[in-house]
Amino acid sequence: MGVFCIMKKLPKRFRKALSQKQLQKKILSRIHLPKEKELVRSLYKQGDDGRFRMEIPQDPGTAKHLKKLAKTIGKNKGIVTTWKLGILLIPIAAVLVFSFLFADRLTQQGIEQSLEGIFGAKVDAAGVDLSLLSGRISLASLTVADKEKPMKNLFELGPTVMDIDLAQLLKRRFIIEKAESRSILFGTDRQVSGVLEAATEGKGAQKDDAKKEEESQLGKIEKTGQELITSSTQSLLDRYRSSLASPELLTQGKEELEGLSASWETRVESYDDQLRDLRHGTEALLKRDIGDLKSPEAIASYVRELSDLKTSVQQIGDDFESGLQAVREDSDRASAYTKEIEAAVEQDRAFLREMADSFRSDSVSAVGANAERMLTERFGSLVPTAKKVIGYIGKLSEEKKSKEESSDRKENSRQGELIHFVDDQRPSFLLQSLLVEFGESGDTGYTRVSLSDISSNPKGWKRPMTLSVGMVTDSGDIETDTAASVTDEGTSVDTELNLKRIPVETGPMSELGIAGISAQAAIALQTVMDQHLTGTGEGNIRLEEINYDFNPSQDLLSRAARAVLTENTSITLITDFSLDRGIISSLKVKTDLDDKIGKALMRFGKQEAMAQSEKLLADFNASITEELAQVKGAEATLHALSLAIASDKSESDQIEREIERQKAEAEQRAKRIIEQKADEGKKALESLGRSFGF
Amino acid sequence: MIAFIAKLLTALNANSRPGEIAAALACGCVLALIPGGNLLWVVLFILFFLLKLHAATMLVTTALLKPLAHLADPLLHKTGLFILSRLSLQPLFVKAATLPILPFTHFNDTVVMGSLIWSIILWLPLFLLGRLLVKGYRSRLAPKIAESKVVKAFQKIPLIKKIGSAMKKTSEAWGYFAS
Repeated sequence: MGVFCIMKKLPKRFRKALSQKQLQKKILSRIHLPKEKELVRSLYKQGDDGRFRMEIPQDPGTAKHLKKLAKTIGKNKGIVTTWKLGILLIPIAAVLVFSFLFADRLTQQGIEQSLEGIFGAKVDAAGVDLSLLSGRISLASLTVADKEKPMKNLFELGPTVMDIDLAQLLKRRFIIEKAESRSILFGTDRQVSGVLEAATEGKGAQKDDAKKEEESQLGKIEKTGQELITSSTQSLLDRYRSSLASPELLTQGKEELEGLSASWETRVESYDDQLRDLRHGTEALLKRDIGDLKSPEAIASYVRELSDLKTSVQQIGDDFESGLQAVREDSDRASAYTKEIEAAVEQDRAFLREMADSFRSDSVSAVGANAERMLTERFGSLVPTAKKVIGYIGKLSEEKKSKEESSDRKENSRQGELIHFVDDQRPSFLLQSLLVEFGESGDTGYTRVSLSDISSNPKGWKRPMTLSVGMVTDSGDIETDTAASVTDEGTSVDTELNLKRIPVETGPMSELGIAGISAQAAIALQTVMDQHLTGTGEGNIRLEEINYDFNPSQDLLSRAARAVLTENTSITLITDFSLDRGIISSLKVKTDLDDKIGKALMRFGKQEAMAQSEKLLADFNASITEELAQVKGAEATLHALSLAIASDKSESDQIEREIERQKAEAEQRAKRIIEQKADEGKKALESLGRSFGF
Repeated sequence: MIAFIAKLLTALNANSRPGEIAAALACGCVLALIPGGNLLWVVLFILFFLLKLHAATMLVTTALLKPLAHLADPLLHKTGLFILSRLSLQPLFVKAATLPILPFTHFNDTVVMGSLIWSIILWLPLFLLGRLLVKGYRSRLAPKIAESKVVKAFQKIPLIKKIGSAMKKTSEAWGYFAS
C-alpha cells in the first residue's frame, strides 16, 4: 500500500528553506555518497527569494529513501555520541551509589574473602566502617579461625583503625597515616567451627585426605617407636624364647635324669635290703667260734655253709658290680647331659645377649629415626601461631609473586623498562604511625608497640627515617632498644632491633608433658634491605629464665623433654630470613633444643632398652636356674647312688672276704683236728706197735 | 567479529562520514599499539568510545593489529627510553609522577611512552590515509563493484535474497518489539 502512497510531508530536516551556504553546510556536506548527494541536490529548487526548498518527490521509493537519508544526515553531526555518554555514566553512577550505600558491607565481604583466601579458614569482620571521604577503614573486631583447629581462633583483633591518604593513593602511593589495633589475642576459643564450607569439598577434601594419610603414617611410626621402647619388649622376649634351645633340653634332661635317679634310688634301696639280709645272714655264721668245732665233720659242715654263703655273697656282689657299672654309666650320661644343657644355656644366654644388643640398637635407632619427626611434630605446638602465620606470610608472598609473574607473563611482551622518577616529597609506601596493643597475656597485662615513619623509599624521600619501638607492660618489665640507620650510599637500609625482656607464655604441650612455659625473651634482629624492603636478615631469639610446669607424665618423650628442659633454663633460636618487598619470603630457625631433646630421647631410649634387655636375661636366668639345679641335683643323686652301690659292693666284698677268711680258718681248724687226730692215731698205733713190739 | 566486519562493510557503503571511519581506523591502531593494563589505554578506549567513531571499524582494527603490536616493541622501547631519559623532560615527568592518577597510566614504562609517542605521530597520517581510502573506495571502487556482473549475479541468488529479506524483516520486528 505504501508503495502507491504519495509523500504528504517532507522529513523535518528537508522542510526548511535554506540559503546556498546553509544547504551546503547542513545538508550536502553531511551526505557522503555521490549518488545520494546528487539526488538531494536535484530535489532542492531555488526559489524567487534565492533560497533553496525541497520539492516533495512523487516517486514513493525516493520519498522513502529521503526519510533514511534524513536520519543519516542527523547522525553525521557532532563529535560526541551523547547516548554513549549516557550509557557510560549510568553504570558509573550506579556503581558509585551502590558503593556508597553498601560500601561497608562490600568492604567487610572483601576483607573476609581475601583473608579467608589467605588463611584458608573462616574470617569474621564486624563493625566495618569505610569512609571514602576521610580515607578511614575501621573494624570493631576481626577474628581469623585456625585452619587446623577449627574451634580455635588463630588470632583476634580488637578495635582497629587505618587511615589512608586517598590523594596519595591516586598517585600510586600507599600512605598509611595511622594504623591502630587493640586487644590482639591468640588461640581464643570459637563458638562455631572455623572450617570453610568450600574447603571441606573438592580440593579441600583431597588435602584433608593427604593430611590424614600423613597423620596416619606419623601415628604408625610413633606407635612403632613407642612399642619398641616400652611394650614390645615382652613380645620380643616371647619371640626370642621360641628360638632358644636350652629350655626344651632342660625339661627333657630334667625329666630323664629325675626318672633315672628315681629308678636308681629304688634299686639302691633293694641293694641295701639285700646287703642288710646278707649281713644279717652272715653275722651269726661269721661270729661262730671255730674253736668250738671239734670234729672235722662239723667243720666240714661249717665250711660248706660258708661256701654256700660265699656263693650268695658273690652273686650279690656280682649284682652290685653290674649295678655299679650301670649307675656309673647313667651318672656319666647324666653328667654329659648336664654339660650339654649347660652348654645350651650358655649358647642361649649368648644369643639373648646378642639379641638384647640388637634390640637395644633397634630401639635406639627406632627412637633416633622417629625422634626428629616426633619432635618436629610435637614441637610444632610450641609455636603454632608463629608457624602458621609464617606459612601464611609465605603463601601471601607466593601468591603475590605468582600474581606478579602471571601479570608479567600476560603483558610480558608489552612490558618495557620502568623508569623511576624520584619523588622528593613522599615514598611509594609510608606507614606514618602504627600502634599495636596486645590484650591480656597471662598475668602480664598488655603490650603496646608503636612504629612511625616506616618507608619503602628512604633515599627518595630524603627524610631521616625514624623507627621507634616502645613497649610498655603493666608491670613495666619490658625493655626495648631500637636502632635504625638509613644509608644514603646506595639503597640499603640496615636495621637492628634489640628487645631485651619480653614476657612469653605458652599454652599446654600435652605431648611433652608440659602444662605451660613462661620465660623472658630477648630478641635481636638485624636486617639489610634495599628501598623496596627487599633483603635479608638474621635474628637471635633467646629465652631466659624459663619456668616449666610439667605434668606428672612418665612417657619417654615427656621424661626426655623434662630431663633436657630442666637443665636448660635458656634456649637460643637463631633465625635467618629474607624479605621480599617487606614480606618475609623465607624463614629458617635453628635451635639446639631439638638436638638436645633428640639426644636425651636417644639416651632414655637406650637406658630403657638396656633395662628391658637386662630384664630379658634375668627372666631367662630365673626361668632356667631351677630346672638346671634340678638337673644337676638328679646328676648328683645319681652320683651319690653310684657311690652307695659301690659301698654296698665293697661291703659285700668284705663279707666275702670274711667268709673266705672264716672258711680258711675252719679248714685250718679241720686240718689241725685231722692232724691232731692223725697224731693221736699215730701215737696210738705206735703205742699199739710198741705194745705189740714193733 | 563477523558482525563487526559486516558493519564495517555496511559503513563503507552507507552514508557514514569517511572521517568517522578513518578516525576509527587510526584510533584502532592506537589502541593496538599501546599496551593494555594501564589507565592510559582505558582512558583512550573510553574517549574513543564516546567520540563519534565507527566503533566496529575501531574494534576490528584493534583486534587485527593487537597480536602484531609486539613486533613494534623494540622500536617503541627505544623511543620511550629516549623520551623518558631526556634530562630536559625530567622535571615534567617527576611532576607527572607526583600528580594524582597519572602514575596509573604507566607513562614511565618505555613501551607505553614509545607507543604513545608513535600513536601521536601516526594518528593524523593514518586518519588522512583512511579518509582517502574510504573516499577513493566510494567514488571509484564501490560503483564498479556494484555494477560488476559477479556482484549482481550474487545478489540474484535466491538464497542470498531470502537471507537478506529475512534479516531485514527480523530487524524490523525486533525494532517494533523494542519500541
